Amino acid sequence: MHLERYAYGIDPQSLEYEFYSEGPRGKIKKIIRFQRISDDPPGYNLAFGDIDPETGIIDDFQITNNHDREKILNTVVNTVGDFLEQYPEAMIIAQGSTPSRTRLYQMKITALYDLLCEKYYLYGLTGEHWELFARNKPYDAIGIERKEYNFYYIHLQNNPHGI
Amino acid sequence: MASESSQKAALKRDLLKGHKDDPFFVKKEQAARELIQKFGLPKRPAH
Repeated sequence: MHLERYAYGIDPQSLEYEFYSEGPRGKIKKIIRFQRISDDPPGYNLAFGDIDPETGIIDDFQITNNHDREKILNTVVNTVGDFLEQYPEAMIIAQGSTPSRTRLYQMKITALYDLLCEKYYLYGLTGEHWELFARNKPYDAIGIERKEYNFYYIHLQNNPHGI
Repeated sequence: MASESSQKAALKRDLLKGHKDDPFFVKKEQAARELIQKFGLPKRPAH
């Protein structure tokens, strides 16, 4: 994926990605954490926060403040791809801190839908169940996982010795 | 605007040991656990 994005650093031990947003408000440090929330299947929550430059406190990211919304979202998408390369069996879920934030994630996924669908399964939580992600439908949370792993998994099921 | 290499250098310097115990992330993790407790995780499409 070739999207304009920020360079990021990775701490593989803590499963954290960090980058700086740059704009009229200056440099703002952003942190993305992939939090392990289940073992079978391995589920991870995508948590995203800003470090307030004045207080040092982490809070929900202020997406409109630095006039770089698209670049930030591109960076987040890129870290998801990177994470799923390292953890191909992972299921990632993301839920905005408010419905409008979740909607923002959803708009980004919709914009990249064709590209993402080549490699990933996308899901949306609607009411009380998950379904395959559909464009232009509001969701309460979003899920994403690699498709290839499925083929690999089926292959291993049919060929337990990897033959 | 800082170059990508200087950004990377700054990130490398600043990278902390993690924010696992930060209240913000603890709250986020708890909310996600509650969500999957209620609704589970998405299921792969059947083939």
